[in-house]
Amino acid sequence: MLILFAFTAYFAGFHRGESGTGLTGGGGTGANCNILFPAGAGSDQEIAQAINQWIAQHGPNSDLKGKGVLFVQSGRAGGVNPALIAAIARKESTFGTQGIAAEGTFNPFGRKAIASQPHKVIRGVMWYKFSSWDEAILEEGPYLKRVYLDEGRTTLGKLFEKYAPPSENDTPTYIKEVASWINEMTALAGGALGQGCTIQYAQNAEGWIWPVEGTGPFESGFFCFQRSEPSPHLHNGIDIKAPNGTPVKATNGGTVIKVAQTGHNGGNGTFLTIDHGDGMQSIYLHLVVNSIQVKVGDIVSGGETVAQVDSTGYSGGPHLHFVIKKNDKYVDPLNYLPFKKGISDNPIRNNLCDEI
Amino acid sequence: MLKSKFMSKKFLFALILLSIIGAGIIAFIIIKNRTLPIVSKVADNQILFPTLSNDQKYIFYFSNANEAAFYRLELQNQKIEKISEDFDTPDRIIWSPSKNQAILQVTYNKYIFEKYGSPFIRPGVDDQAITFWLYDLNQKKLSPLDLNIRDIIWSKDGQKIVSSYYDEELNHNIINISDPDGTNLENLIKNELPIEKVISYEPANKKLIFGASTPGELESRLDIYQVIGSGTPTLIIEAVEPGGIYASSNMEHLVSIIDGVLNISNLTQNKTQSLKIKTNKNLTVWLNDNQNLIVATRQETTKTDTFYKINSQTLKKNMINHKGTVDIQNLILSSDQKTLYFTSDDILYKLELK
Repeated sequence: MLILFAFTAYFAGFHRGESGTGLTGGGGTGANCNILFPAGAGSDQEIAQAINQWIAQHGPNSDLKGKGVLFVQSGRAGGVNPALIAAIARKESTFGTQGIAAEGTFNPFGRKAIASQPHKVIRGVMWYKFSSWDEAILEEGPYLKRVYLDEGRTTLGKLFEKYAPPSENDTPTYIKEVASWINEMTALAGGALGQGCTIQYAQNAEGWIWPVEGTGPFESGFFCFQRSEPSPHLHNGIDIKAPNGTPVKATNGGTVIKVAQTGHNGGNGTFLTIDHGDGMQSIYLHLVVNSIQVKVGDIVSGGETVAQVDSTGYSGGPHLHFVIKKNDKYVDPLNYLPFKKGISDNPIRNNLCDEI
Repeated sequence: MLKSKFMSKKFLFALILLSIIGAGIIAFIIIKNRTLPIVSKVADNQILFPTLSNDQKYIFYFSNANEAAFYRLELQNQKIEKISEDFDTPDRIIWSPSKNQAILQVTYNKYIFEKYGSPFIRPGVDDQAITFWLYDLNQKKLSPLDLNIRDIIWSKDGQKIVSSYYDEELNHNIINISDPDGTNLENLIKNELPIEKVISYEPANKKLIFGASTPGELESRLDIYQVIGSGTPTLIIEAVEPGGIYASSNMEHLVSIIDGVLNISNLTQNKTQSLKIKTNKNLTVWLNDNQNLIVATRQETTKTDTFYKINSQTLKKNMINHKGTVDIQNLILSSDQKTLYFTSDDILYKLELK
């Protein structure tokens, strides 16, 4: 019995290790994910609830809302993480609301067909046609097993080399998005979906860096951070004074998740947001219109120039308004950026909020 | 023995009294429930972004339950007819008052649109950019609208569209009026206010209501302004929640949420009063008299939405009790003002008003 247990444990460990060797690419960024069904992690009901909640958040107009149980059944039938199946449905069709799924195929996964299979030809391409959303969901898990897992494609990287090949897609971006969505569902499931994905970014050797060096003395409003929340007038970051056109650098490695090249945007002006994984995001405001050199989904390294300083939106002069969020809450960037004497150690730094 | 007899009489009397009280309570509950309006399902199918046709016979709507397209539901016989080609599902649909045209708000999904050949493909548009389109249901024609548009409404007469955008060269925010296809463009306002939302425009008296973001970054509330013709915008309400702002047809009143409480503003008197209804949701329909309104509200702690009929003059509010749990997404009042249609979990229901 002990021998059997030891053998099982070894074998399970081997599989976990294998599934953890994700693709690494896109400037050293990669994702290590368990794409197999997270056996023993939590109840099917808990997993289904998390998937339902996630679909309702990101696909409010989707007919797949409330079908979490089917995703779990499908994942179980194919031995595949049901969060992966839901993530593919979002990537390929925004949960059945867009793409060929919106043209009567009931195909939210972008599956192609051969002539002998039920299909619908749309703009010259033959797509699999299911009889219902339920059938499509229930079929996806076994399909992933049959066509990918049984071929040894048990990592996100290997799976998407074939599912979303580089010839058709930006595979590293595809992997990163799917991995981050699996993590969102994993967080909602509160442990029922196992550990989710570890996403690696090209980090700075020394960690976070100042996005611009800045000019001007501390007293004239080099930065301020106001902790009093909630407040509609919360100054939720630091202001770093710098001349127009000063290059703005990514404070650390990550993926660009929001870009607003133009517009007032509620006072933010031109801005962008970078997701650094582990719940960390950095936001850069008041940039030069159309100066953002990256697009949503781009993977950036720490120190990479991403835009230029300006005064767009609510701003009294050229400066960078720099924000760091941790788990969706504003945090003091000075607690992350390298120590600057006279600034980081100033006891009254949180009380200063000059009119920049 | 005597005592026992007395006790049994007393007991019998108490029993009869209790029975009468009990019967009364039961009768009261039955009568009360009989008079409660019942929420009834209109159709079983998924209905998104519905509107009622002007002849009150049809519900026009969008659905992606099978082929994602516009459909028409005949209320009398539940007959459903597809009335457009297939589309990717938009984020929002803004129906024209005539119901013959609709503006579609679509988030540009570069990966899906370009991979699968969407009708919404626009070369050079950034991924996740907000785009607007005009769809003419009679001609079955889809036309792109200006890429700079940030918010858009139909003018009160339904003949024009009123849209806002930010001119980065001038660092000005602009509201324009044009024909629905974007031609015959005229500027209504151009200033430095950070305009976020166009709320209402009446061409007859050139009265415009719009919302501009309050000072602050990333966490915005809206300040509401009013302007007539080429005059200077007047601040009328401060720091309202961006969602759930509804002006009456004559643009004399406006309902909104301020600090989690429903408020009503008299725009001619520049006066805002609390309705003392805590809510994080506001869907409003104004009655034809421009004085009364019906709102659907919800507190975070409750599991169903609550309807109120409110008089904007007296602030008198009557809760419309109903049977059934609902989470309202769309609210429509029939022209005879007797039937309230709404969707809950993408299913269409109706509530017959007394």
